[in-house]
Amino acid sequence: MNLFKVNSKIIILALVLIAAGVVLALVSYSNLHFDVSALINHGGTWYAPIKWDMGY
Amino acid sequence: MDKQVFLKDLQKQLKKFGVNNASDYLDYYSEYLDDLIENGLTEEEAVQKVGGVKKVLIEIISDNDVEIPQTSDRLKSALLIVSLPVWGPLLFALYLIPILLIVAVLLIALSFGIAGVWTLVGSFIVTFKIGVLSAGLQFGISLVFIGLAILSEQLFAGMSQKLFSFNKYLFKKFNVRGI
Repeated sequence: MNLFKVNSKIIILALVLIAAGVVLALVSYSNLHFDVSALINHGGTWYAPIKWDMGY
Repeated sequence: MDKQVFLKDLQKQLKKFGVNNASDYLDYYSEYLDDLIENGLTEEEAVQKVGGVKKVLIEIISDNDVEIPQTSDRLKSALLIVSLPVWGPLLFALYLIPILLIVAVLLIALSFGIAGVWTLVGSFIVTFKIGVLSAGLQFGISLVFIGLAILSEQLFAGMSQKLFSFNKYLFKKFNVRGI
């Protein structure tokens, strides 16, 4: 599979990844009751491998 | 005036008048002069007998078989060359647009890729730090990013292939001399 040529298999793989990602994200988020503040109130520490101290 | 000087002079004059089949006439007059020299004339006498460059030039231009491009064509090409500073940069800018678009798509692919890998690694850390649900959300987002990265990369590959074949077509079209 050459990534530097247009390849329908790779495109289908990408579309499957996007669909799976959207479904997974929506299911998880619905289980979090679509609570935005629950995510944000971690002070930004939850979403990245490094601790992000914004100073507030 | 010897034979070589005469022929060179004639060639210059024919070029000035844009005669396409100049070599035919040069060959003809070269052979004609050779014949005269073989018959005992010196080079100078032979050239004098032919009549000199001006007379021969008038004969050639009034010949039925002479190929001189239409004046309108020459005017057109002169206009094209004179207006080069105007259309040259425009054409160059037009040519640059697809190249820059391709670079932009490549940068989009790279950005999505980096963001995807970053959030993917982060999601495993989130699993232990916050919980499975937040990790699932982040993992899903990372999959979307990676998918978008692959799609943009494929778009980049397709566009650069198209540009390559377009360049090949341009090269073939303008490479009339067959370099």
